[in-house]
Amino acid sequence: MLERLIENWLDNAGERSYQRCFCQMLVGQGYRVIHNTEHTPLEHGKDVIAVAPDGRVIGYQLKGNPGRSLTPSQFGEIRGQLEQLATYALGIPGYEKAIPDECYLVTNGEIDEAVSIEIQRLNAGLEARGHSPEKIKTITRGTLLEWANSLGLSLWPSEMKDFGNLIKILNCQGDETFPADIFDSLLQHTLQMQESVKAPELRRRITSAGVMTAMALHSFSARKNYFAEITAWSMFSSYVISACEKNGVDYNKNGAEAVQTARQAIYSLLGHICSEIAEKGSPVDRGRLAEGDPFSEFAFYRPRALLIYALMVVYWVWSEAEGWGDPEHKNVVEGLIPEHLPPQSIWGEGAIPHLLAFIWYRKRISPSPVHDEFTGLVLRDIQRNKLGPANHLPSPYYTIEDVVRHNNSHLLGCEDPFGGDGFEGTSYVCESIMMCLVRAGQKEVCQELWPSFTRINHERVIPDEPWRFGLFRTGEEASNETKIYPRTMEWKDLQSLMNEAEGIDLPEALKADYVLLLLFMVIFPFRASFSAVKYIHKKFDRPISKEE
Amino acid sequence: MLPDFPETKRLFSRVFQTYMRQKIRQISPYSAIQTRFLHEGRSMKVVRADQTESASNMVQLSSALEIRMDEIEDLTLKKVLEKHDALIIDIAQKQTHFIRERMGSEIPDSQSVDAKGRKLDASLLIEVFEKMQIEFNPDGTPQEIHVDGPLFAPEMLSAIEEEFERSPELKKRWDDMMEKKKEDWHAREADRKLVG
Repeated sequence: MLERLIENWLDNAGERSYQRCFCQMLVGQGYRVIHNTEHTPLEHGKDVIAVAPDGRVIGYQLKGNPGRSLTPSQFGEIRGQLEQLATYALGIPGYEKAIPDECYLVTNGEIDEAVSIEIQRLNAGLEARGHSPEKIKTITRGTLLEWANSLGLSLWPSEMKDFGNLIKILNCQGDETFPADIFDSLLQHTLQMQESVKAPELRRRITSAGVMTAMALHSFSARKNYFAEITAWSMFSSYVISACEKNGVDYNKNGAEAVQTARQAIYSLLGHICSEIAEKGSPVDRGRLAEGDPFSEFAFYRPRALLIYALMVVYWVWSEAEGWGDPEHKNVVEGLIPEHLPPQSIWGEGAIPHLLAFIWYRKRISPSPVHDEFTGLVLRDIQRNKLGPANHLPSPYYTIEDVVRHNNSHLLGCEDPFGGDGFEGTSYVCESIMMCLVRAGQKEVCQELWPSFTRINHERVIPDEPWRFGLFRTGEEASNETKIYPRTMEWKDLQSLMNEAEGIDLPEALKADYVLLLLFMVIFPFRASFSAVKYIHKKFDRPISKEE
Repeated sequence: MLPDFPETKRLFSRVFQTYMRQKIRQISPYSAIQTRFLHEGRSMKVVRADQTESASNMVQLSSALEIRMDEIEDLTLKKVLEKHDALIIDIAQKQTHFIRERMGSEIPDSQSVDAKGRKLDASLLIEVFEKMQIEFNPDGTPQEIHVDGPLFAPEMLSAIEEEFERSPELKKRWDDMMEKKKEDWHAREADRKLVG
């Protein structure tokens, strides 16, 4: 049954979605992917470049022909690109002058016999020009299926419940929020998070989870639901990091390559969001962040806008640190993120990581005391809300969809997702915002806000082991801590408390990859714990230095 | 299997669960207490301003709901709800018992009064209130105080009220105590400051 599922997926997968699976499978075979790009006009067919375990450099050009054969006319369109791939220097950092030792035309369909003859002729021409014989080879549907079966499927969880969960994800329409709760269970079982796993088996399981991630995204990729794809690959990355740390396995040797490949996919997907926004209009066009049925947008537009600003901040920070994949995107992002947020942008505590990303971005590109003043106003508003009589902001465990359903449960005839949960006088985020103000030296603002701050119960979830932080839910292995601050406190004591770097309850590899950490917190706001925000604040809340 | 209608039954099941949740809150003496869901983790800890801590673990409260096969044919929605009502009472009792037991073990001696067999009267009530930290509203009125337990039956509280009316001395003790509580509250509120 699983074989049939994977076959069905491959026969319907577009080039973009099977490329990510293909890269994970290369990594699973010991290859190091040194270049992985989704089509841009500048790439000349150079989709994936990998270094084989024996050190040979291999170039791959991928073609999406689901359920069909590559015809001579289609081959004619890519023939020049293939020849360039086989003969041109790569121009990739570290491999500037290298020419691939072997090249592959990869398709998830079949190759027409006439095309095989064309490739033989192309190879003969290359050989005559001094290249190795049969320099261009092919990988077709059969090989991809064989790889997927041996590298992926054999380690998938075989329980019926898991099978049902996989079917549930595959049956998604693709335009909805990615079902992280269902995927969590599949990833946990594939990576055997409840058991002890040795390094060689964990490596195989990581590849298997990578293949499953690509496949689980089938409907979402088809609908170009980039945020869903980002969510899934971010989960894959954090779970791989957690699995390595849990098993005491060297992450750099066993998991980093797979995560790096997932990171490349995430970066491309952020770029796709940016391109889509650019296509939808110029920065002055209002409403360009709308999606789907416009009549229901009254409930979702602003929360979505804030989420997109946060995602674009991640993209901006990432690109500034590692180089812009598309240099034109820098202007798009900087034109998109507004100087000020509209009022009532905070729909719940789940919006706070988005808001912090926004503030940190503004502080970096145009340092001004205004940003810290805004932070103070945010804390004041949340504290007033929490100590007020009604409509308390929900905890970060509730999404915007939960909030909208709660507010309109009678109208929509749906269950109230809050189900009696209360939020009065408690907060998961006020400590983090207070920390930002203290570190910014906003002593007077802190003094003004302090009385209300001490009236609030500050909630924290502390995982029993740091690796559990990387999961969608820690399970029972965490402690819920309520912190009550003393009524009177010395400013210097508060400063020293807030200046601790913290992050002791975070997996080491996630701490080292602070861009991924920020993204993880944007996607799963309940992971923006006081400890995590204290740690990440030091990386992001600063103006751009002259060296940058 | 015989033909079944699980989709619609799931809707009923949800209705019964909501009914139970709401009804338990209605009849529980602790209905005014805010409910908080724990989405992760099994244990809870409170770290107070003075760095003292109280830790507690999850406790599962359960109750059985029985339907005999021979009842099914004549079941009506009304009868099903009545069966749930019995379960609701049982759960609410267990919850109340659990909370009382936990409060009994968590409240320190400094905040407890041992009546040593005396019956509740105005004097004892003053003694109890003296041990409590009472919060006030900005307009100076005390925040609502909830009492729980068989001691605080309405007729008992009415009798105490009459006792206060009859005895100006007791009334003065009460007023003085409350005035002191308000001063304490003012002092606490004035104390909420970031200094240095």
